[in-house]
Amino acid sequence: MIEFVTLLLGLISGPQVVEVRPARPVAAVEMVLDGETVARRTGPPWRFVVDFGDDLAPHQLAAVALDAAGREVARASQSINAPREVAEARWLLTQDADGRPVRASLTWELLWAGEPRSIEISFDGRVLDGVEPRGFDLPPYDASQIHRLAASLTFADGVKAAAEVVFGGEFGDRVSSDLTAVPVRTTGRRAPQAGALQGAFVRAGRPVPVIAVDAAAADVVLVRDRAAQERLAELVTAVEQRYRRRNLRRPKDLLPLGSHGDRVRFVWTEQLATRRTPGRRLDPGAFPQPVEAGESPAGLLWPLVHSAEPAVPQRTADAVALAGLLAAGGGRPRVVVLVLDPSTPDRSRQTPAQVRRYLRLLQVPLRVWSVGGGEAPGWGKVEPVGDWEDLRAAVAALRRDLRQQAVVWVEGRHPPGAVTLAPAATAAGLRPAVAETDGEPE
Amino acid sequence: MIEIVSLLVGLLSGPQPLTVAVGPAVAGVEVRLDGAPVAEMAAPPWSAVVDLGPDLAVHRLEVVARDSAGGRLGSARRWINRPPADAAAAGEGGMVVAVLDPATREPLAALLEARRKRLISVGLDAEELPRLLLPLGPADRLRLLSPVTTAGTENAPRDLFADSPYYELDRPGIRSRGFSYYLPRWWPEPVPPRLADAVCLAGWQAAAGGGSRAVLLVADPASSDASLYSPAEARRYLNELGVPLRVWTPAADPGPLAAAWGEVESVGSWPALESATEALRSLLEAPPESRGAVP
Repeated sequence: MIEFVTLLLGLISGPQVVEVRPARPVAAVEMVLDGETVARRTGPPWRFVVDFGDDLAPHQLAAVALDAAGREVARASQSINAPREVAEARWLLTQDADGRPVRASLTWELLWAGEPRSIEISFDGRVLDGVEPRGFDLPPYDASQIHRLAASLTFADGVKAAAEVVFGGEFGDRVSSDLTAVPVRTTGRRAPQAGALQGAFVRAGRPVPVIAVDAAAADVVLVRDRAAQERLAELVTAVEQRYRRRNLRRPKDLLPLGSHGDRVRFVWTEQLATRRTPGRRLDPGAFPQPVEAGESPAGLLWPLVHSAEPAVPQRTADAVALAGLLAAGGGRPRVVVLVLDPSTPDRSRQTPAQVRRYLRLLQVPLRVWSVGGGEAPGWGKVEPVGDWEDLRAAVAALRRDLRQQAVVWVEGRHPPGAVTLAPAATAAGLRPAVAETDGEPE
Repeated sequence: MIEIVSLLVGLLSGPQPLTVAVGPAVAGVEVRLDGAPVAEMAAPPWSAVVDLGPDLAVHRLEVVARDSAGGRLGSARRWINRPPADAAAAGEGGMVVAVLDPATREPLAALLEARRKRLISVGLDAEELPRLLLPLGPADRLRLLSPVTTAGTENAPRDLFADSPYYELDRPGIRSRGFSYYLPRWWPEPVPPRLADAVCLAGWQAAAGGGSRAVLLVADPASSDASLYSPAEARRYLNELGVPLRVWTPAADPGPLAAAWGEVESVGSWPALESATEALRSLLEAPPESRGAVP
């Protein structure tokens, strides 16, 4: 047995130190990245430097322990830059004699000890209050329809986990634990049935069985910097005040975006913490630029008290990459929306082009909104949202974008981007959720 | 023949990855830290882990390329944690790099305002007042380094950006809160300042210019500190750089601040502020040899 001491969570690129621990003496350990041996050691410390390349991309890293004859005696692997959290949760369903799920229990694991602070369980988008997550009876349901049982867990330090299982309808008595969601766009009014899509999805040229097609509720992840957030807040607050002043009845939602079950989540562009390194690294770039008060112009105290607080560095592109990872993890139609002020400097490690390519690999569509004029180099098409009418138009376009998407469930667990559309999918009116040219130089 | 590829930027301690690029004749690479051999690289990818020790300290890293017979083919060197040469920080006068805990801004502003009113009431020109309040030396300069960063720690299990949970739109059974409700309202929670880390960076910057320099930390005993390095580690690093540190607090009782930082000057009144500023000015005027030298 061999295990990873270093867990490469979050977004990884460039050279990284990876440490493993064999359970018993071994002759050698190899690091295998995406099927290729990239490092080998024949004695402790079992610490390697693995180069994940400049670009963000999903990878599979394996640690292979070998005996003196070069035979593999143990192996451990982990997914890199793929939708995976430090905490994971899973559903276990108990089926009746007809194979129909009747009871559910939730299990969870955190990489370090800890119990969830909160658990929210929903069935077809409706929250189930008062159920015991470790085991409860499912509410009555129509077995001819697809149903979705979901759990959202929150641990200390803001760590979250989610579990979802889909059953019923076209799934029959199968559950989705060994299925992969492939997001697509539909050109027709309705998504085709699973039966019409056999042979339409392939991995490495081989057909992958299609189990179901689901025009499910969508996830929207909004990435915002401070300046953009302030402008959006001004716009919405002004309209809310106008309704109040005129004593008008306000619509339920001034910016109708979602329908039943759609969800929205926000990601901030200011970084809270960086990934663990074996040692410590104090990054001057995480601090605001110092302010020069010059040569004794106003004594000591005056500039100390009256200097404006310098701006906290923003890492817009890096936050978009993280948002893509979050959006891809839901197994639902998804969009990441970046709301930016083009005048805000971006101190990201990744470039916008690198992040767009990464989102394409994850099949997460990206829309870019701008609250200010000017260019947003590298981000492709930018939609203005600096005034109320523009904001409404951008939300309407986003709504249409979400309604065009569906999720095709295929058999097996596949890395992001591994399953692609064959010509039969195009013939059936489907196309990839993200165009193949997105992120390439314009 | 050999180059250090790893950037090794920032202030580093503990095990750090090191990668070098070598020419075709190189059969092995010896890694030396402060003159002592610490690691060997025998084959591509020419990477190793170098342990810089638990403390923040200045180190000299050298990589030596050898041929198959052990002969020396070339070498490359890099300083770690050493202040950069900074022409902007050099000059005739002294330099103070000040780190202001945001919690101390209000009490200091109140002291300043009371003093300003008092001086105006006795007929001094308001335009000239700032210059008269706690002056440093005529050529001394002041640089302000904010300890406010959202990066609360740099040793988390993963890259973290503040994010919200998923909010369900058009959720049945409760009063609907649509997109326009959530859009302007979600702001992340603030994280505590990183005082000790900012002091380390302030020392690093202050030492860059040579000449007379000091780091001034103004802190509140009640403030949390989300730093990667402890006050004791920050003090040791500044000591190694030869940069004196002064710690002030406007609070009457320095309490835990003194326990963490050692000597703390109370600046809760105008006379106390004047006295502390005078001490700081004297420090900058002291001969350089009494302040230590940059390694």
